[in-house]
Amino acid sequence: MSSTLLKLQNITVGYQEKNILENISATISESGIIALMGVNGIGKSCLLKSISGLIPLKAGNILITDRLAHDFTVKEFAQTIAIVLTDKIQVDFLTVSELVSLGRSPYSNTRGVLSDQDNNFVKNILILMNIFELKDSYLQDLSDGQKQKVSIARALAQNPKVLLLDEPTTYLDIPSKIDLMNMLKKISLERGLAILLSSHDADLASEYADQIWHIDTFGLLVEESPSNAKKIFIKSERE
Amino acid sequence: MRNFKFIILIILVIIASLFLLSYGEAGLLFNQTIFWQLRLPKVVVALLSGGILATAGLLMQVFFQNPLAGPDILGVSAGSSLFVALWVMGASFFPSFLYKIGATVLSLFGAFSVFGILLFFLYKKFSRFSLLIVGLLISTFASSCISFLMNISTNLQVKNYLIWTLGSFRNVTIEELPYFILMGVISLIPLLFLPKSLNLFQLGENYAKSMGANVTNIKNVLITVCAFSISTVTLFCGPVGFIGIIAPHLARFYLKSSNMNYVLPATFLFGSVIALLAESLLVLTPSWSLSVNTILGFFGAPVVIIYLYHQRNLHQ
Repeated sequence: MSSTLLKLQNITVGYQEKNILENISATISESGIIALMGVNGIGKSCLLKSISGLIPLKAGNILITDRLAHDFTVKEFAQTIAIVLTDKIQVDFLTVSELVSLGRSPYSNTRGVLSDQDNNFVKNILILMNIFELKDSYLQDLSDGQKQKVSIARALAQNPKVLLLDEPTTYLDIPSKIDLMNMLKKISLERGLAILLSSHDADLASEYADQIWHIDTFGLLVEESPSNAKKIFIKSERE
Repeated sequence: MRNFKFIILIILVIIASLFLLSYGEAGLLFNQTIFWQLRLPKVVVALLSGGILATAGLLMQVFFQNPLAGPDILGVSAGSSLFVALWVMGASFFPSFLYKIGATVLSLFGAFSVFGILLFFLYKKFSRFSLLIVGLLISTFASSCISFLMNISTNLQVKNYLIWTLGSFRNVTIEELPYFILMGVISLIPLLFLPKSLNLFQLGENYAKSMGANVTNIKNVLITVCAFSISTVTLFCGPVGFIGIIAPHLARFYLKSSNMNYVLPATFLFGSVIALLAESLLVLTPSWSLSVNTILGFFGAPVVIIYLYHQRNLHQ
């Protein structure tokens, strides 16, 4: 039997009484970049939050590394799946390395003290994301592109198998977008990581994604190949 | 560098304490009765209450994700005050041995009720600014009720209550001191286990949850600790303002850090320093008949405004 990283089985997601997306099924079987596409307000963020357990599921099952999501302990879950949201982190005087170190908290003791191994892990992530020289800078002094890298580094510090990114490129200029996507591509290959990211950018998706999850205007999720991305997106914009 | 900064803070606390222990309204007089009955309780109470209010302020700022939250601003002190007022004004109906216990319970009840109201609005997705206004309205409502109570009470009770609202670290007698210390220490013990959770929580609830923090648990602990500590201090010292909102910002700014392992103890020390300095000012100006809240308001309000101005520059 082939193993999968993430499997959605007929899940229904939504807030309180309202269902946003119904009966969604999809599978990620190998590492790479998966672009989650669809028009604004269709429920991409809601789907990502539901997969990461921030919003309870209304129906269906999620399997992560072939294991039911609700069989995980909270700690194990945080060690397997990580998310970067669009919420801005607004804390004054927090340094880059402190923030990224917080990503190790699923591994640290109750007082939050990191072992040498953990500190080493954080250091490697900082080098991997090319932000090691920023480690002592305060978050409030960084550019949007740097902040996004730091946020992703924090999530990577959880050492997840599946990384969820909500609109990671939206506020970035074009060079930063390309830089970030190249970096994500490299990381997903090196670490055997599945990166599911939501995006509006059909060009970027067709260029970098290994797989496209497209939510159409009827709220159905269709798995597509990247070469179709542009075509699909232009079509759904017209509808 | 960080250790050095902590040492400076601790030295400040010690100097202010020694000053207050050796100098009082009677001058540099040293006398057994004055020391044990007046100065020692006063210093211990100022040190502990200042620290406790400051930490409660920090916890509230993290909880509500709001740099302006604090025991007084969100109406928690007012809620406590209202129920203490009910008790003080109704005191003549109850036997005296019930007095302190009844007041403790009611003060705690008042603080929890206000938290209940605030949580309701938080759950209904009120913005941080609307929530501040809710806090303000709770305070106004409480003070209306208190005015009404005063009108129907006898003069002596009104006077007792009014003196209490001015805020003072001198109301605790040496006999009550162990009780106060016990309550204070109980409210501080959970803080030893909080830094990790607070560090995660200050990034936002969602992030904390995604990194494996038990958010519901943290919230319950934060509210219980805040309600318990604020109501304890309010009961003994009256509704003391501003320390809770200022001290956390001073601590962050002083350490240039948001790491709760350091900010939490520094906030406590700053709270103690502020309370001790306010008390020292009182001692130095006996003829002006000032009160703690007068002094804290006089220096506190401008500091908050300067902070807001600074923030405006930061986020432009």
